[in-house]
Amino acid sequence: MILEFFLFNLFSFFMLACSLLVILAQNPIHSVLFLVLVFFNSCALLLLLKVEFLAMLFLIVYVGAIAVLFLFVIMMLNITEEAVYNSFSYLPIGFFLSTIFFFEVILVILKELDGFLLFSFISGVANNCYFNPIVCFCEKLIFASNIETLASVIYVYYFYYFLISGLILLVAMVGAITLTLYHKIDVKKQDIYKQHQKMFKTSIDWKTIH
Amino acid sequence: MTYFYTILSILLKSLSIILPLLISVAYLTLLERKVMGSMHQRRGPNVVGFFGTLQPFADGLKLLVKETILPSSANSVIFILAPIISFLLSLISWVVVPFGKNLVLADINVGILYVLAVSSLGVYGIITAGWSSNSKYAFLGSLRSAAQMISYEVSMGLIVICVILCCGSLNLSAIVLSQKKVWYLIPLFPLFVMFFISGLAETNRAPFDLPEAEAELVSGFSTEYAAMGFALFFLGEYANMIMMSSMCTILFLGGWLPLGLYPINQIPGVVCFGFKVTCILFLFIWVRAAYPRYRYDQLMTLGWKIFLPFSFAWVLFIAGIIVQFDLVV
Repeated sequence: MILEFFLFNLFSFFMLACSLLVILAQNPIHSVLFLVLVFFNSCALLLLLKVEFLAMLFLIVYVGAIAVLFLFVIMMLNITEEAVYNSFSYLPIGFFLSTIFFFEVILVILKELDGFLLFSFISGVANNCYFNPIVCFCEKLIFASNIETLASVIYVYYFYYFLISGLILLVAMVGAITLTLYHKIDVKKQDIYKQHQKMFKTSIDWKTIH
Repeated sequence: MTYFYTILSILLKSLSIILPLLISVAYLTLLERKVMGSMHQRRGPNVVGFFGTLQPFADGLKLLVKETILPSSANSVIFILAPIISFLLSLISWVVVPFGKNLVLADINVGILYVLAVSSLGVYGIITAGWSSNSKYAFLGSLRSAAQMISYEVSMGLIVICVILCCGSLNLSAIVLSQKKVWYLIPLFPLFVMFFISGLAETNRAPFDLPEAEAELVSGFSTEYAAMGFALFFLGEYANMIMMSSMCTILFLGGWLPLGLYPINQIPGVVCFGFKVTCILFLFIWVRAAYPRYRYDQLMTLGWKIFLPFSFAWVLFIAGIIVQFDLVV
């Protein structure tokens, strides 16, 4: 338990440090790599909370797909050193926004979990039940794996939201495809099916020239 | 003191996987050269050691004693880190592979997701290597490689979902044990073929070895690497190949489950596992010897326009069958 507590604090610390370095790094590529490290640390935190399914999804989706796309775009942009501006001028606005966000999160936590999580953390009784009461509750009731628990929540109680989020993603996908979809008429393209269907007799024929 | 013994046992367990893995990587290179040699009707390496059995170690030694070169305009920290990341990622996915009954280092219940996650992280080693060497060949090679790996991961994930639907668990041992009656190779044969081809693309093997197409890109993302940096990439690549074959074995060929009837099914499970993995590896090499390289647009067409819809259709089809016949596990 002490080890878990220690690891939790360690990963949180690294996560904060890396997220600071994301905005402080001069080179945008370094920023993205630090962002990947942030994702890694949050994945470790999720593992400590015993939500291993979400942790793995986090790795696959955020690190394996989204951050790679970030890297791709930034590498292709070929940003030179002069383009890097001083990011400290935005500090007051950033501070203001993050304060608002912080209080919002605290309000949500206090409202949803009834102060359970925050105060237990302060009083030092930090086991997994206190970090994540839902997991503990399920463990007491029935032995179900992470995925089964999630599925029973998503597909039974919140399936409307699930369907709606699916539709939103579909709309986004259609939007992205229509943005990139344009046909150039003057480009010669090889149609593989046509190419395979070509026969000697139909491709070449004799013409007599008078 | 108990901590000490725990750490010691973890270290020994990891070593007992890593060491055989590295040796098998060494002999995989030898196997490749020998098999390719036979298919080209030449002898292959036969000078060093008995029938060339010491050739891989000679190669390794050569790479070890060569000079490590850091390009002057490279981003040196990332340049050094990239091969290390690549090699590390190819090793850590072996943690969850069940070699036999109860013969697995970490029997976690999201095993298959872990493997997918680690293989999707493999892009980082390549893309950072290509970018940090500050050379156009390396950069283009790494971009190609990353795009290819991402594209084929999608359809691979969907194929894995089909298998998961059939067995109802993400645990690799459970997946193997659910194939006791019939290997998934038989009911899901098209998926096996697709998984194998995606595996070829995922490990950047011929006919999808565009990232290191010698004729166009010198040697892709590893152009600027010499000595141990190159060796680490090489080891990582071949370890990934073995990993992909063992995933094929676990998902479709029944892992450590015995093959055949009475006298043959007494063979211990580990040997069966190894035999099946070797068969798939032979296929990998056979494909390399037999097929010419794909063009890049053909590769992308195959990934996005053929494999992706087809694997989506299979997911729906299998889910439909399971619901219709009430086969929910």
